[in-house]
Amino acid sequence: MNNREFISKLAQKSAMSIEEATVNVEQLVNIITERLKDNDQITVSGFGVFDVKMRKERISVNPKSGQRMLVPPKIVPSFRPSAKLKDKFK
Amino acid sequence: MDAKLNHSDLSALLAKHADISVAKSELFSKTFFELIIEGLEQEGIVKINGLGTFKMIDVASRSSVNVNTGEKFEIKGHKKLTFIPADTLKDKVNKPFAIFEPVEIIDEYTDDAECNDDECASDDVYINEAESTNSVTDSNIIENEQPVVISPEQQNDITTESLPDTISQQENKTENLQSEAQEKAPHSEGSRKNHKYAIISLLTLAVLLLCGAIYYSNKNTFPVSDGKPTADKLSVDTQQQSGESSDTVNNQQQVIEDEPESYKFKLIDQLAQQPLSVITLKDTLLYSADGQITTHRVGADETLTKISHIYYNDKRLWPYIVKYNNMSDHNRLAIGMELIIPKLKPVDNPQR
Repeated sequence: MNNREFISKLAQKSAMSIEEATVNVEQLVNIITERLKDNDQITVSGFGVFDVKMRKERISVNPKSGQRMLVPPKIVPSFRPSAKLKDKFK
Repeated sequence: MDAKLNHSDLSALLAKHADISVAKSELFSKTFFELIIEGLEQEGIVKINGLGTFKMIDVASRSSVNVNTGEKFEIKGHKKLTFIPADTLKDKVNKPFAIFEPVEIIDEYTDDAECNDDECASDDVYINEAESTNSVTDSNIIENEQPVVISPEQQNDITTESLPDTISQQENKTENLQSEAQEKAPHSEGSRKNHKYAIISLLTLAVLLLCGAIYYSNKNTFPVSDGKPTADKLSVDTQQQSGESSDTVNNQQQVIEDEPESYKFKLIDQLAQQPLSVITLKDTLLYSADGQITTHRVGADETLTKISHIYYNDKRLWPYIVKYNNMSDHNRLAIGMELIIPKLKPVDNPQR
């Protein structure tokens, strides 16, 4: 389901106009992004946990050319589904 | 920073930013996540701009072992929920590290392509350029070094291991190593002249090393005359001229320094005039050995003076131990050495 469909369905379910829903989704996404930037953890019960993980620097090799690269450390966002959700799909 | 938020926190923030009531935002966010789940159930994939993509992935069944009983069992194939963050989200989260970029590592080894030049075999005059490029697979590859390379998924650390696969992949890269290795095992492929020069230089090097070794080993034995131990009795006798122990010298100095200056010079004159055999110091100790008390095994951090103190209650008697063990060098005490500890009987000082 792409973004458009998602927003239209969301607008329907929460009795909002599509514009409203779009704005709100944008806002929500912004909030999640901001929190993740501050390395906060967001837990949505029944859904999962949005978290950030640190990746250490590593040496990677291009298998074809054999060229070695030094990949710098980075912070990545991650999502862990909750047990309830996992069971739903099992 | 590093806080934990839950659903209600999220809704509260949304209410504030979107300027809607808390109740409305709570409902909204609840619906938001429920809809994601619904979308996943129905279509298996949900994409949200700016956030990312939630996707159901099929996981194949695999066999596994029960950790307690050790029996095998099957983990059935199932679906797994994954989240792929959107690029904007990734960039924003990684902002502190955004300045870094992957960097090519330039190895010491050079490529096949580069190695055809003269520069490749720079230090080794003996190595023919033709050799270095071709003889990769023949000789031992990584004699000296070098660990390299990591599989990205498995290890995020910098620890590098020498994986045989990757090393074999890099065979072509180890040209310089080859040339180093070749110095030790020159190839017959190369010209005969180079071969000869290599051998000659190695021989001269070996001869020089031998000479150095002999010289140094001789250096150690020179101070001791006749190869006998340095100290016999703690007296200045002609027989023991070569080995004045440090103790004796100290004693002598102490005796002289105690006296007033004028007397010191008189004494020195006297000493100088007397034949050496007559000079014996006031506190000279004289012992004779009469059988052995025991053998002592040298442990860590043990010195001759300590050992002497243990057995004789007198640190100054260590030269006797040296003598009766026929030690060539009293400085070289090894751990585990077996020393004969002689039984010492004091002999009356003939001079006093």
